[in-house]
Amino acid sequence: MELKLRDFKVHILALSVVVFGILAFGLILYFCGGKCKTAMLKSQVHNKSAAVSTAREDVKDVQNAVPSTAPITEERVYYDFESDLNGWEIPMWARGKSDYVASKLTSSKKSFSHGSSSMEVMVSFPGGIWAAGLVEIQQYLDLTPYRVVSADIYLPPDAPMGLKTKMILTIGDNWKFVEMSRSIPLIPGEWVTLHANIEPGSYDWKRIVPDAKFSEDVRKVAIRIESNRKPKYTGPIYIDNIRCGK
Amino acid sequence: MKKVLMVAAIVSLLFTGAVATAEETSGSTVLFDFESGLQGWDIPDWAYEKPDHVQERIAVSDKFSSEGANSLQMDVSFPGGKWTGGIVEIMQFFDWSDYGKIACDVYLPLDGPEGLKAAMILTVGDKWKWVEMSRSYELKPGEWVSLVGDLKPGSIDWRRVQVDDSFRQDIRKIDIRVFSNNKPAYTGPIYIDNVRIEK
Repeated sequence: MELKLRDFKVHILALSVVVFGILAFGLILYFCGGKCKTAMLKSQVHNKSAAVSTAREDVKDVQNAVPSTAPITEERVYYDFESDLNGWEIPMWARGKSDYVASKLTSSKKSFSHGSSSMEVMVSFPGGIWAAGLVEIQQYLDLTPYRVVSADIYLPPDAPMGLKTKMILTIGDNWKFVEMSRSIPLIPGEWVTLHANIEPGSYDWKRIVPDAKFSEDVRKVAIRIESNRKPKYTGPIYIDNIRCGK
Repeated sequence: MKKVLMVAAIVSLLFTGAVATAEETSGSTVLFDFESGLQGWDIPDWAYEKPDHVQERIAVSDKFSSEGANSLQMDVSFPGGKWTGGIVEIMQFFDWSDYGKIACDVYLPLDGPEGLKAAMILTVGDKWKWVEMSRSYELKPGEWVSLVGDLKPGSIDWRRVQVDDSFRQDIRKIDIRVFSNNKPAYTGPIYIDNVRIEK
């Protein structure tokens, strides 16, 4: 009987040791896990704040960036239409639209600002509604070495005042459509030069302030000539000497 | 008889000289005209496995040509409504240091739709870099369209690459791709000819 009682006590003691061990192990795991989790959270918060501060710095950089006022001393002509249209076209999507009125595109020797040819766009602005003639080229271009994109546009002397023009770029993986923030009036009988600054901080683009990557992946260049209700005109418009400068 | 032979020899010499002069003047060297077969052109294996690549077969054809009497015929089946392309290529090592342009002619039959486009792709250098043209050319039904890529340093005709002098020294493949970007559906042949380099 005494022996059985002793055995029982030994069993109870052993059981207590095991239970205590399990509890102690659990407590250790709990505290370590908590600490690790805290450390991980702290690291995430740190990373997030670092990312936010980097993004803020980037925005700050773009906001602080001011396009250079130095004169353009070097230009490269990208499209002069000397041999053909160099890939420029009236896009398919614009061909069936009633407010897009460019009908024919040819290389012409009638008027030019560079070499001996230009691109002739036949348009037919009905007047009374907003209408535009748009021509474009789809080409992957890295324009980072340059500060400005320019083009010359000529309206024949018999055309009316009031037509305007602007340049549009399509940029980046999302094919973002970026219009110039202002349009330039065309003057009948004169070549007008369209300039757009592509440097970081430029104010020449609508709803976007260019950063360093803006001009690194240009996928389309387009020129749009618009009549905002009033001017009515059917005839040619000439575009030439599309170039980049630095 | 001797006189006749002499005259024939002189005429043939003059003719050879005239041909050589013409080639030098034009400054163009034809690499592939498909007069004697496909000359190594093929549909790459990977293109058979891609559902968006819809070329079916290639063969030499005498139906249309821009140079000589034959061209390469690629049968394609563009379903329309999504991007699909048909591609042919040749793997060959070239050094085009003495040349400034690569060109080829592509023909879409008169019953083909408007809106199909074509571009060349080069595989360049030790890393076998895949370099697509930065722009594509619209095919015009019933007309031969020439695709031309500038190879000289500073060229803007190639995508995501700064073209320097080494670019044209080590060309390893030429690919020609015809593609339909969403709209045009077309099933039928497209002809390629006169793959050449120009001064």
